[in-house]
Amino acid sequence: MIDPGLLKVFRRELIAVALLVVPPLLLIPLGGLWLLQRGGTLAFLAIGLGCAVIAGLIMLIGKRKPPSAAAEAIETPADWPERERTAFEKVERFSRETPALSFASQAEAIDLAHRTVDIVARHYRPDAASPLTAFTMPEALLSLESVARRLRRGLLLAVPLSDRLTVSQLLWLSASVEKAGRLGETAQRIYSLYRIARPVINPAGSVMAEVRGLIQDELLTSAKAGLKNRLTRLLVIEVGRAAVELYSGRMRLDPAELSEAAASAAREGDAKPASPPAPLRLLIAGQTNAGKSSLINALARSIVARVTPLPGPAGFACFETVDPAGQTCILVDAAGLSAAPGAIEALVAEAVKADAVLWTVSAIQAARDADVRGLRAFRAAFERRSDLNRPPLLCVVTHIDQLRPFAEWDPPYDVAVPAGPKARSIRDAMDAIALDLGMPIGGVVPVSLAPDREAYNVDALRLRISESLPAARHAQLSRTYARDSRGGWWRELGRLYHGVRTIIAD
Amino acid sequence: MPIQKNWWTGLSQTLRGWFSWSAKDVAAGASSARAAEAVTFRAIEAAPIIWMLGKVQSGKTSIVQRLTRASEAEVGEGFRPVTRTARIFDFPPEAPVVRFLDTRGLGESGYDPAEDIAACERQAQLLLLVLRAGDPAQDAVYEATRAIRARHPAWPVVVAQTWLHALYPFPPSHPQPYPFDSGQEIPDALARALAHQRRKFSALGGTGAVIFVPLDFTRPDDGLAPADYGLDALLAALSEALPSAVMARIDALHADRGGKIAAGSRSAILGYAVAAGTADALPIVAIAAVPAIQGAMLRTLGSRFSVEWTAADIGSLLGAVGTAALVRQGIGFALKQAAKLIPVYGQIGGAAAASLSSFAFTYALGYAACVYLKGRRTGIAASTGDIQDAYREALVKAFDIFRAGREWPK
Repeated sequence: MIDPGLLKVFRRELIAVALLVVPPLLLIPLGGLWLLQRGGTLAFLAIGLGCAVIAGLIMLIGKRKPPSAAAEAIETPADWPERERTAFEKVERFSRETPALSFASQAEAIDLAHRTVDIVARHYRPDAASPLTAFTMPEALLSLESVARRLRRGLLLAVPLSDRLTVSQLLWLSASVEKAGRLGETAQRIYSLYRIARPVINPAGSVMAEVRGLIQDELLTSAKAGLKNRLTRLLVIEVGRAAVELYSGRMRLDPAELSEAAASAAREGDAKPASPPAPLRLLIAGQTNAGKSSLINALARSIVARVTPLPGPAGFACFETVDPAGQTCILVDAAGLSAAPGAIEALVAEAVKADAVLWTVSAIQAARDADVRGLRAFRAAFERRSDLNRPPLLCVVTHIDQLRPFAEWDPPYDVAVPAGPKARSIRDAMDAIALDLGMPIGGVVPVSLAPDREAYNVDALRLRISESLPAARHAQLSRTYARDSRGGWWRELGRLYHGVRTIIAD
Repeated sequence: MPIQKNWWTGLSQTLRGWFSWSAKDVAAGASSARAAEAVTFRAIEAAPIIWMLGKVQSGKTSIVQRLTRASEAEVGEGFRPVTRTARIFDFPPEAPVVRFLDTRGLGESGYDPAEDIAACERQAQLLLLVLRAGDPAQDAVYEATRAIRARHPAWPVVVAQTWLHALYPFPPSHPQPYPFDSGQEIPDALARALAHQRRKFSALGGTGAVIFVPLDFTRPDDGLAPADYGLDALLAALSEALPSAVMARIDALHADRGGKIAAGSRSAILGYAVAAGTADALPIVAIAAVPAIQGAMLRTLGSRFSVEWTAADIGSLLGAVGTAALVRQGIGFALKQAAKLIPVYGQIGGAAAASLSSFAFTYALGYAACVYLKGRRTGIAASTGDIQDAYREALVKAFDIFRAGREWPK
């Protein structure tokens, strides 16, 4: 193990060190002899034993429990729609129920991975005869790539020192263990002999050594069991996650392609060329005269829509502006919601294409039937489309300046703890609207957009919108995935063309 | 309604009725729940219906309140369902002078007014549309009105355009004097919104008049004086659209200020008095009907004051009023009043006199009964003088109300 040449080079130094170390070492047997002669051996043994017991107690009390599987939080992907989340829950349950692998054979691990994929496959294709093969080769490759990436991240998080060990170190470790196996029997025998002889040679030291050995054994086994548990769980979760992505169609696009697809989806009906990042699509819904156009004007900070007390133009008008995060977004001015047949259907068709919805309700409009029915249809549409995330929904209460008392307008108003009569009537209107629309009061934002006064609370609304941007991005992503899996013939044609060209060029 | 051959026939019949009027008949009416119900039923049958169409919180309730002078609670609790899609407010409930039908089903898509038409066809006199001026989404009201007018093209329509203050520049204040009938300057946004509704609802079809009335009824503490902005314009529109007999009832409700002593019973007394006045116009039933109505009134007032009438009670009340003398005095007064009216309503003067005397007598008897009942309840019997004072005072008021009604029921 140590190079003999090296010993030769440092011979003088080694001799000098030995000469220095030997005299203090001599003190150990001399001290023993002195103890024997003075009859203090028993007292020393008692002290040694006491120290060992205390040390043992410290180790045992401070001992950490092996990490239980349930204690580890598995991050459920928040950006997945209902269907994917259900599949992932199944995987998680399986990971909790499955016993830890022994890590003795590769086949065992592969079998576990296989069973995990099977669970997901049956969730997505319950009726397919052979659900495992319902995806394409590029999808499978992308899946492999992402499993590998995530396992790496998981290893770093779950296995101590995994970022310090190199592969060669790992190989050396396993090799040593193997060698130790061969030499094991002899070594074991010698060690046993030593353990028998030890109390005779050094009674105090042997007691301490035995206690220490016991403690170490205990610690090592529990750590090993915890590690095995964690690794098994990691394997199931990551394989399961990849399988969910594969079967839900998410593997069809890599992130670069995704951003491009989202951009073209948001710009539907817009002639400008697509460029990342994809603009979000904000739908402004509400009854005629609820103040949708005024809201769009206030949000866009420049006049882009016609504001008039008369019914607005039919259909859905789109305006491009900048969202609170500083990125381009598309404001969609929905046609006024009414009891007219087809109005709700048209709105829902537009809502399915939106990344966030601002539901505008006039504080002084008590006839909210149309809103209630529209929202019901909106929610039902997303219950039917379990592959889509419901876009975040904010309720904007307009015309609060026209609430009682009519002659008072002295913002700002604190609606959380309403003090004056105006603040109270604003809060009452918000409560009534939240109740009618089945929304939490936290999702209701009061604004005033009266043309003859300064707009009030639009900044707070912008803040609320920016808070919901992550959810909006999730909605956008799930929509893009769904859109890609539902069509995309042009994309397929493009791939075919690229493939053919590559082959011919080669 | 039978037209009198001449006014003398009516008067003589009524006079005969008066002299055969007896306290016994009144007592019989007061003690019979069935008789009281019959009176209510007759009053309901005779009361005209004003059919209101408008969205939630467009201002229907405050219009009903201003027209009837009923309290907010009376109106709020008074509506009861009458069909699957409509509710009705009888005012006063014991003996309705007028009834308001409110269609709730408007918000539902495909509202079919057929059932509501069937329920009120016979008595409906007017469609009162209530539109918030700033709310252009009125398709439901428009379609329902068109459907109703298709069936009854002659029914007049009064379109109340409410919530004007929402379209005023800040701070809001009503333009004075009322500018909407004189073509004076009004805020631009308001003018456009009103014109939009006017254009839309002018094309309702049918032959009956369509009258637009911008108004804004607020609470006194809203700081928007006057709180009943446009009420006079609404009354003028109603009197233009309604038959005079119906308008007379609304005028009576509007003119009746009541008295402290009756307080919560104001509307009930007026209701019975109107019922008595109307009963008199039908000469044959008048004789029996008037004491029955008065009996029912006493019964209602008794339960309001938690006092059970006995025959002796009624005897002593009527004794205090000094039946014969006061009744005669009342009739004499009525004749004098009627004589004043004859130049205007000459052809039906007799009937008018008959109605007036029944109306005034019942009205005054109601107030006298309130004084008596109050004494009974507190245990300190009211003096004859107090009762007679209340009677005379109420009699004068009754004639004022009658005059406000211009042409008392034909």
